[in-house]
Amino acid sequence: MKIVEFKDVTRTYVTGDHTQNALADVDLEIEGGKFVVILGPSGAGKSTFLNLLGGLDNPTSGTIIVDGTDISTLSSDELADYRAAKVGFVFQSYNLIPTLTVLENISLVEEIAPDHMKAEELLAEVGLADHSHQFPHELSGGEQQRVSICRALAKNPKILLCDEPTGALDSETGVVVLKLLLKMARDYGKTIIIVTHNQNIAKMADVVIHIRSGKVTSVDEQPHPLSAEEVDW
Amino acid sequence: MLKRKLWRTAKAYKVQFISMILLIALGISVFVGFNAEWVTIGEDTSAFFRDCGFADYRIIDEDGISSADVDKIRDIEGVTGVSRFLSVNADVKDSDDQLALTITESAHTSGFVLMEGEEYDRWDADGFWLMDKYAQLNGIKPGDKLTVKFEDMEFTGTVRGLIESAEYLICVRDESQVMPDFNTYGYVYAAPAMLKKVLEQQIREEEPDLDDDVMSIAVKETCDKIFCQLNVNSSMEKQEIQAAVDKALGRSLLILTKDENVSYVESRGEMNEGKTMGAVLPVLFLAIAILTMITTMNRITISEKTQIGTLKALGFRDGKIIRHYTSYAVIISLAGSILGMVLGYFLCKMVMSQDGMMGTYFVMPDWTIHIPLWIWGIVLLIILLTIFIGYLSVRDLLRGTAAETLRPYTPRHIHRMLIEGTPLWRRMRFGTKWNLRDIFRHKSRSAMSFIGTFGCMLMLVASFGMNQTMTNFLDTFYDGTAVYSSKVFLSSDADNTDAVRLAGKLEGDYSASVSAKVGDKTVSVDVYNISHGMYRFIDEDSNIIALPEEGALVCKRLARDFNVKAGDVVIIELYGTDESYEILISGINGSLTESISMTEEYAESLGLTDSETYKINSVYTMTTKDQISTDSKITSVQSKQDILDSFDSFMKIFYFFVIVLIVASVLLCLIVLYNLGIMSYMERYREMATLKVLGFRNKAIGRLLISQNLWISVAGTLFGIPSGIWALTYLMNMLAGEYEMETTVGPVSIIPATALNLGVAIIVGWMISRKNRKINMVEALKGTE
Repeated sequence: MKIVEFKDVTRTYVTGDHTQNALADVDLEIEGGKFVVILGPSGAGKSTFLNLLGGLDNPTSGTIIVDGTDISTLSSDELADYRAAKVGFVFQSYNLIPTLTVLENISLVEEIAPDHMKAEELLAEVGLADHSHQFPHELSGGEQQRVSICRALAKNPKILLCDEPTGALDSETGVVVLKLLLKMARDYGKTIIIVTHNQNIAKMADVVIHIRSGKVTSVDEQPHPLSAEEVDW
Repeated sequence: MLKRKLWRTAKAYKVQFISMILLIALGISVFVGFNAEWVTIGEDTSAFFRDCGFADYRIIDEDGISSADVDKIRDIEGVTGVSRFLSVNADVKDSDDQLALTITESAHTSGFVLMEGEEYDRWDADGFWLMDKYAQLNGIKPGDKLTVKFEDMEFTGTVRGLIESAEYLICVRDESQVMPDFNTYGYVYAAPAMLKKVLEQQIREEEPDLDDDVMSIAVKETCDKIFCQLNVNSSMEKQEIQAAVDKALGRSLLILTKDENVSYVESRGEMNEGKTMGAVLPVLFLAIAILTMITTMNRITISEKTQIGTLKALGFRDGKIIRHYTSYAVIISLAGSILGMVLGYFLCKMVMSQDGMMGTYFVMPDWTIHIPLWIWGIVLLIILLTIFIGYLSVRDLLRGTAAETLRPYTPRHIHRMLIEGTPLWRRMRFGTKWNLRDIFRHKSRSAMSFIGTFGCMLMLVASFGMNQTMTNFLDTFYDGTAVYSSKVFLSSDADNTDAVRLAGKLEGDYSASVSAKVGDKTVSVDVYNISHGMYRFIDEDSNIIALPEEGALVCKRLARDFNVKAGDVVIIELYGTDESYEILISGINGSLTESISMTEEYAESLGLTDSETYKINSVYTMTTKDQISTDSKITSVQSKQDILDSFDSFMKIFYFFVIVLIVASVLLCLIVLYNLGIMSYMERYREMATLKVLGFRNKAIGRLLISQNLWISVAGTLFGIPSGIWALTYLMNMLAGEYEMETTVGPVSIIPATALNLGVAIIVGWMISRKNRKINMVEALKGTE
């Protein structure tokens, strides 16, 4: 079942006299429950794709349908509700609220997500139950990213959008985080879309989408993705 | 190239830059305005007193001061000028106006400054020198004829010149009038020659055949009786001159110092009030402005940390970088100071000018604004302090290596608060926790917001309270004690029988005021006959009380000065006699004047009414001023409405100060909160972007921002209320201790003050919260921490 549909989507940035198409005429469909990796060099338009899908940005033209809803026509408040209910974000730089504890960072979504999950249970699953009352700065990078994953999942979204989730971590920690991300997503039946330029991560994906110069150059299905252990990091 | 960066950075932080300039300007303008006002009063009135030979002492003898007495006093060592002085309220012919007809034998003592026309000539028997403001308002020019009548004497002459006299710096009919009314009351100087001429005519009417030599002696003798006051210039102390005068004349006379003259004491009072005001409220303004400057400069430099690191890495020397960043402080402080000085000058000018607020109170020729060196010094200090703050902010960032400076600033880590772990904390919503932790994480920013709202509330409560206190004061004294419609002043030749007859005719009450000495202090002993309830008395708590049958009421100030309470005895010595009386104090009352009040019966029982100085001088009646027929025993009639009207003018000046304070307080609060609010917004930008990404709506994030602002403002407001009342009580004691004003701060003051203070916080919060609509989530969350 299709969960994401991009129909002729273009995103243009205008800076002074200069116009740049970050995404141009993208047509794409993503099946639900899949682990999708979007690969491409810097400036290819990967993050723009993710931002449009996450409702952080609006397309210049075209239609984006997520779980049956055309998000390209939503108002600011409707987009906020969409983000609260349908998508979870995991950033390279974690973006935890420094003045809230680990538990509070996760449970704050309870105020906006109608179908949220229990923060304590999620924390226990990622092995951070003992750290629930610590502040983000008291955790390592890997631990912070695990909290970030918990926060994204706590909203119980259909899709997890991850922008270079291991980019700020050493490879060993990165693998741990990736494994966890995959496990959690699979356990809870989420669609994961990861944007990265790391070819190794792509080996674990069900679908790999290549983007270059704002265009989708290929969509490759991988019937037998490798597990994290099988990948040569 | 750095110069370009300077202006571009200033543009990037325009809100902070403009607010810092405005804060400095506001602080300096209020400081300069308030302080230049009292300095100007002091300087300009002192110069005027000097130019007019304003008398240091007034020697009073009801029996008259002879020319021989004058010679004896002139000979006292240390006396530099003497002049017999006459000042009586005379009616202007064919008009309801009155002029203080003034004759001074020497123009060097208690003289005047000529504004237009001919110089004073003491031998001119037909010349008048008229107060210029009265002349202008009544269309009188030099060369015009003028006739004034005092009792049965008529003075007619030509206006030779228009003048201003320091004796009448505050030109009021009597002490019960608070503000001058230049339209209907002024002063006019005549030469002693004119007095002699009028006296000659009077004597000639009675005895037409008197020869010139006898006439001359008769006039001289009359003059010796008429002149009851000798004005003296001397730098001697009061005790010294009192002793010297008593010795020279062989009798003890009442000597009044400058401090007992309304023009002198009120002008010094205005100066001292200004000084007290200038030392309290503007300093608070400046302190808030400087503290906010420190916080803002520090934050701006911190947000420039990476750029400072870049410049350092590029090879710019520390000195150059420091100069570059310090130049922001130089620009801010110079622009703010110049703007503040200009605004302060005009603020002072609005008060201290011929057409300004004080121009309705003082009449003087020179209204030059004086900004003394110490004010310039303080402004210079503020500029230097601001530059130093700028220097310190950047110096700290340059301490490490270029690599260290290049690293982005990481805010201080959060620590657990005491409240955490309590059930209350667990029940709090995330927004509450987020805001609480943010307040404690950014302590200086929060403290400044608190100080801003606290200071504003303090000033608002004090300003509104001042207004309420004044209104309450007027209500208490003029609606509470003065029941009458008119107060009739009796002429000097009206005896007590005339007074009783007039009081009966007007169905009024009457009083006699006797000057007496208690210790070193001159007090007024007021004896009342109240049978129509025209005058009432109030106790210390402003409740209406009756005059006690046995004993007297002493006013609060005298009770405090003499340290007496009900049941004590006070000994009074009457001026001009050897008589002294023991007075039983039965209670303490609130009074406009420093007085001891008693019934006529009690005065009789003491024998006071038999004293030759005992003289009924006022009648209080419900009969309106226009219905009181002319009577040779009446000098003047004053309606209560006249007094209230003159208070209106006084209140206009007062309201001006109150409004300036309220506007300045609100502006200060607005600038401080907006500046700090923007800072808070910038510092939490990334966190708000995260909330937005998570799915929080703009309004929800806006509410979080507003609520933090509001909490701090509520705290500032709560602490500001008692502090404002305290500040007002302090100010009232300093400014109006002589009026026995009770500080009154009720809901009438607190509600509008709270509404304004919280209103500003809500408006600022709303303005800032609207900004979160523009948060660019993509941009905000880019990059690494």
